[in-house]
Amino acid sequence: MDELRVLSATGALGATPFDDDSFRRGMERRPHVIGADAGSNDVGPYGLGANRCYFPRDWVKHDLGVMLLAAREQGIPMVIGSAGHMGTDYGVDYHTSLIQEVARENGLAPFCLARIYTELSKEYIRGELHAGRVEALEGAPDLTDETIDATDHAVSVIGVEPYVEAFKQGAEVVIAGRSCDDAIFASYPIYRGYDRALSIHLGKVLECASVAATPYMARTAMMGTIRDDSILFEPMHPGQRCTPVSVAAHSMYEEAHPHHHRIPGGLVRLEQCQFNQVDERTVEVRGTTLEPVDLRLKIEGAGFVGYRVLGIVGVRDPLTIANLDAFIQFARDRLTKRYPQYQEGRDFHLFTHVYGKNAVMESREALAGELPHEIGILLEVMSKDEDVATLIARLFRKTLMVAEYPGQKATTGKAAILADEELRGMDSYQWTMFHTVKVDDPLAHSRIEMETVSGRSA
Amino acid sequence: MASAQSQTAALAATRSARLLDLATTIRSKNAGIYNVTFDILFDELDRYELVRDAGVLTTESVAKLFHVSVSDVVGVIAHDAGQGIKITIRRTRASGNPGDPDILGCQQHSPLYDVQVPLG
Repeated sequence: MDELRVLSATGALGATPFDDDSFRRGMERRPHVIGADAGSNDVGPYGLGANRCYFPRDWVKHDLGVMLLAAREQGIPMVIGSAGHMGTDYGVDYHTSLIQEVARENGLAPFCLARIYTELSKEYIRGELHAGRVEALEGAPDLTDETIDATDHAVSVIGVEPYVEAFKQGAEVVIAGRSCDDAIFASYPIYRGYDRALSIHLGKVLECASVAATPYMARTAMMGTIRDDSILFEPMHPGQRCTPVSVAAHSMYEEAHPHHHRIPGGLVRLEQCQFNQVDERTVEVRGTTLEPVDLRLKIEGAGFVGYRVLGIVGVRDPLTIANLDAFIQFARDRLTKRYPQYQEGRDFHLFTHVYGKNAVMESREALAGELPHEIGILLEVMSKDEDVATLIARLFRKTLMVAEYPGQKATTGKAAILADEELRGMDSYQWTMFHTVKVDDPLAHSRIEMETVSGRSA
Repeated sequence: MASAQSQTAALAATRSARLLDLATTIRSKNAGIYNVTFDILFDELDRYELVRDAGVLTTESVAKLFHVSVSDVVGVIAHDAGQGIKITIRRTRASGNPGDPDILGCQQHSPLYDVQVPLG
């Protein structure tokens, strides 16, 4: 084969329904494999900790369904990674159930599906910790028995090898748990014998679909082509094009370093890459290299912090805004006096986000000293005891409404409210693991289960 | 392209320009859960080289701009092929941990707009 074409349907499966037209245009080009990245750690630890896919079922089913019908029609493999958003075992089963449903509804002929599970038990991780094989990733605290105890769900972030194994076993549809984004698209070319470094670079660009093209469009498809010594990128929406700068700049996206990209057992280096415009809309890349490093698999874990209750108040009085610290401290003091048995940090957490004044950048705000004419205070309280969270949020909000400070002129209410209410937010979780585990086998953290899916009754 | 060149020429008449007026894209985003990374991208090669060589974006200047310690600046790296400069700093806390006001890290870039770049 001279070349292998890989179609990336969308950068975030199910986050919003993808663009059908550009996907169909991609299918007309006869790709050899189609894929999509369904997950991310970008929106915080909630999805992993709560083990929930909170994208609308309808959107997830749309994206999976359009891909499945197209892949089966052309008889090519379909690959989904980080299923269910955080790639837990539940996420893999959830996506698989939607695939089965679409197969039934459309009477599809039998096909071979691989589930790749990557969830890890706390007992396994504890064993690896005590055996000295766990290391913190840059910025993360060291792993301890306490943080393992505080974990609800943990996943391994797999590379290409479990996918390649699934293809070897005959998989036509792969639904995998938490994965390196690049592996979803790199695995099939590697299975078919293409260069490993170029395959990974191909996957790295395709994982966000058309984000490496210009101008920016949401959820449009992107075609990647791999040859013996080059990779090519072309967006499938006619209003977009790839340029050397748009593709090169994408290697910076969501990475701490623009030239280096870590994968399990390897460091992909982009310093020597050349980016060439080969036609109006297509860019060719050459020169990616791969250095072997210790084989370590990344793990992610998250655990429950508490039920979360929110309150919102507005402040317009310039005297209050000028005395904001005293104003908020008044409510804190009242809280401590009324409920000395509840200790902040142990029994509850309390945050006052002052919108209009440093809420978004906190201590990093360059304009911290400027006084706005109006502010909104978002009060956020978490506790493992839901009643305690509600009680504290209510007392704090009600106290803000009558708080005192030196020099006050207004003596009715200190805070404007939309309603006399607290709001129940999503439960609060925290990251407990962002580490790597040394392994001998790249398949060590994955379990592959093969099955035949048929939309026809036996 | 002609208008971009004349804009660059017009800017050169002043002694310095804001980064906002030189760059095409200035953005921030998480890079993993413990870092926030800034991409400053340029459509024109001359503007990229001007900023790259101006010496105004350094570990020290970035630390000062965001009120963080030098050890919290992970890197300031020029990327010639992408015509961009990447800056990475530690997050205040892991993305989405309790109290985090910017889970995606996408609203941390504004102080970069006002960085003054000497011209010529």
